[in-house]
Amino acid sequence: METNIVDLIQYDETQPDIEDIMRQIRQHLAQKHGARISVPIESSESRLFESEVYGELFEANQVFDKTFVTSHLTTVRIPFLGSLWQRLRSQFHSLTIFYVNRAADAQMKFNAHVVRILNGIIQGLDRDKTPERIEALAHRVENLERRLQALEVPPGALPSESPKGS
Amino acid sequence: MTIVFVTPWYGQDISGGAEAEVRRTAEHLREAGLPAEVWTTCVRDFRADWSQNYHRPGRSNENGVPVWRFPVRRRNRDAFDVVNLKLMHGLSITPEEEQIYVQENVCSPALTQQIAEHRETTRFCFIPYMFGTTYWGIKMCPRDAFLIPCLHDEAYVRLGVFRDMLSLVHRLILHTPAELALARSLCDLPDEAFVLMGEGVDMDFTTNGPAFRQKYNVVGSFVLYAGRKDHGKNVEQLVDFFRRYRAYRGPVCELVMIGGGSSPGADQSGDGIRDLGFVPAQDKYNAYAAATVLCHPSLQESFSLVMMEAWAAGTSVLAHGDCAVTREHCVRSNGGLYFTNYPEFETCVDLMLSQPTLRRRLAAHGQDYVRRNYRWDTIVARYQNLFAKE
Repeated sequence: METNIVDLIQYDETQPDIEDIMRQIRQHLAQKHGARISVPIESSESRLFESEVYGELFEANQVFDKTFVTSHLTTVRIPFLGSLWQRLRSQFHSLTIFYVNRAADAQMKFNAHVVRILNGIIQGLDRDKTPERIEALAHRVENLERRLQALEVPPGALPSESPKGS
Repeated sequence: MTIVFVTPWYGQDISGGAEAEVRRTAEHLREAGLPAEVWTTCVRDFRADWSQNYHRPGRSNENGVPVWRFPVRRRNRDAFDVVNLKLMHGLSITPEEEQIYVQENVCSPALTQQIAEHRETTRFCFIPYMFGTTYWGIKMCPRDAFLIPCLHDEAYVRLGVFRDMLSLVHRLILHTPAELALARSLCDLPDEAFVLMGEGVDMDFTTNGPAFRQKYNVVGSFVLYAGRKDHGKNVEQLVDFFRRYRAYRGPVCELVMIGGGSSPGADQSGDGIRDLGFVPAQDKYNAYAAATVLCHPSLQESFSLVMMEAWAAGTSVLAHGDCAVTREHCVRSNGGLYFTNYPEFETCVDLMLSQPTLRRRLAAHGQDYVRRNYRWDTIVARYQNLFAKE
């Protein structure tokens, strides 16, 4: 049987902290739905991308499930038949919204997959400390080039092919 | 020096945040001995024709407050509606269309003329920012005007005409730190021009939850929505989320809605949503006390009086996490939860329904928050300080 998230939330009954409760709610929902995972945060230690990339990723994590639409009916000012016309419009809007939201639901699931993958890629690359590895490799190539240059003798410095004193 | 609140319409029976604020603030300032007045137009209210003079022009006294009404001029409603519809749908408009918006807004040349004539002897407080009475009135007394803008992040506030107007005023009177932050991002004023005032909340009302339940035949737990039921209050989302909640959880609670306007598809059989329409003030207070939790889904608030009233009545609240102001109230008071999507809504409602101790504790925090920050004597003292310093 599925555990209710409410049963997992812990708080101090004498002094509940709503920020802590909201954090727990989000954490449990993320585990249950797999939708929201912790967004990679730009840090000074591992700054692989420009800060805009982290900002965009944060925004994507905020809006990926905001695809549902709601009815927005403007007021009708037709005398007598106005209320009937408004009811018809309302029914038509409701029917349309039903199908749009079904499509939105599928889109939301797809968005959730994409956002999770993006979060995972960025987190993975950050953990990899790729910039440090690239820097170390560049340093190593530089050393090797220096050693190679030291081993190579310039053409003018080569010994004469003709025997000395001939 | 007389303090005059300038507002597009005024009356004891007009609902709405800014309308209620100016009425109650003027009344409390009068009670405290400050010479507060209201200057307004003859238009009945927001929903009426802004070209029609419903009230007689002239002076009257309403609930102890001197009120001076001025006739409005005719306006091109169709031209205004075209621009307004664009803004409501988030479309950008040209500078020429911005001019149409202010030119064809509610406007009284006689009121504007009076403001110009009394600018030396009167402190004018304009409220709210987006109407012609404020726009044209501030033009008559730039650098002297006090503005209670009632800001929230919406298309109107990004218009050049209003950003310019905000930068002209002497003092911006704001309700919350979140509104203050928005104001700072919108206009270029010195620090001393921003005044964090808050808004007064009545805390001396009595409540009778059982009386509400009996009168309206409400049984069991219920989520309360109190306020105007229109698109701007994000009511459609609440109805949608609640229907989904009932579909998943069954008839564990109802959604009871009070206030004007029509709810989207309420009272359909079996969906657990009841729209009681506009109810008397005492029934509203009783509803707060009877409710399991008040849900306030609005995304655009500059203060949210209903949240304060619910806390004052001892009820915890559930706000929308994408509204900077209501979320900030929840966090600062530690008195309510907030949601940004359906799973969070579902979990928060589950939590509120199943944990009465938590509910009571959050409500107590909220009540304390209102008492510390928004009691009328506190607000009146802040106004007295503000005007004494000028």
